[in-house]
Amino acid sequence: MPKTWKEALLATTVILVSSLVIGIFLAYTDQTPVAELLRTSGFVDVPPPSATGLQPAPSLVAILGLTLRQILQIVVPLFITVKVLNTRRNASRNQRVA
Amino acid sequence: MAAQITAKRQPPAKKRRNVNKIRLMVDLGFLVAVVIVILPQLTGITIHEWGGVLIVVPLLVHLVLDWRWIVATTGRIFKAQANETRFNYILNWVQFIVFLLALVSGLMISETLLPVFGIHIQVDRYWITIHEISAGVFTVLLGVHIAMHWRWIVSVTRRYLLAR
Repeated sequence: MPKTWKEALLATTVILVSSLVIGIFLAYTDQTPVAELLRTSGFVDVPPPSATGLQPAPSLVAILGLTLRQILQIVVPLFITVKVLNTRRNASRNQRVA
Repeated sequence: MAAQITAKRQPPAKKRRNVNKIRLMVDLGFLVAVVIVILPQLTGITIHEWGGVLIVVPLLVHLVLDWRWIVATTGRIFKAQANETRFNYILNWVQFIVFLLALVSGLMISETLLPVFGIHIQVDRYWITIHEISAGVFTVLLGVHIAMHWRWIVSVTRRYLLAR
């Protein structure tokens, strides 16, 4: 925990300045040719509306698929990193023993 | 007052155990909150938006509890130290910045939160993309972040949650 007011003030300043920088960056890029390029490249194109003009409700399968993808997005890097770290730590320990 | 005196009399090892227990509970709550927030298709857009903002509170508690480590590692980041520690430190910063990106872009496409305060923003696909990318990257980094502390998580979970 921050032990002095100086540290707490520094942390608050870092958080506020970071937020401000990101906000300015996003606001700036939104107005630049980069943003226009992204929009016109098709990368961030608005999907065509359905015939009724409303977005079709996603199916249960689509919802479950998306949920599975998001869970895997956490679990797969977790698993890989744990494996890599264990391998590195074991190699390091074996090296010390040798 | 009595509680303060008791706390002062606690031996350091017991204090450490208490801090570890608090840290485990806060982190578990934080993880559950993150999972709820990243699944708007299941929980609904209102919970997604309010949760996304309120999640800042457990994040700050998480940072405060690990404050000594942050200060100590910042002080010696350019000095000789384990690669794992350096990687962990940089990862935490990247994750923090990506979280802020997701938060700010999320506010820019808010449908239920900002209108409560009378703020109406024209939703732009650009912000949606930024939000989707940053949220996606955040979840991947979250997995790596948990993995970096896996041994600690297993150890304290066994000690405090699974102990009989």
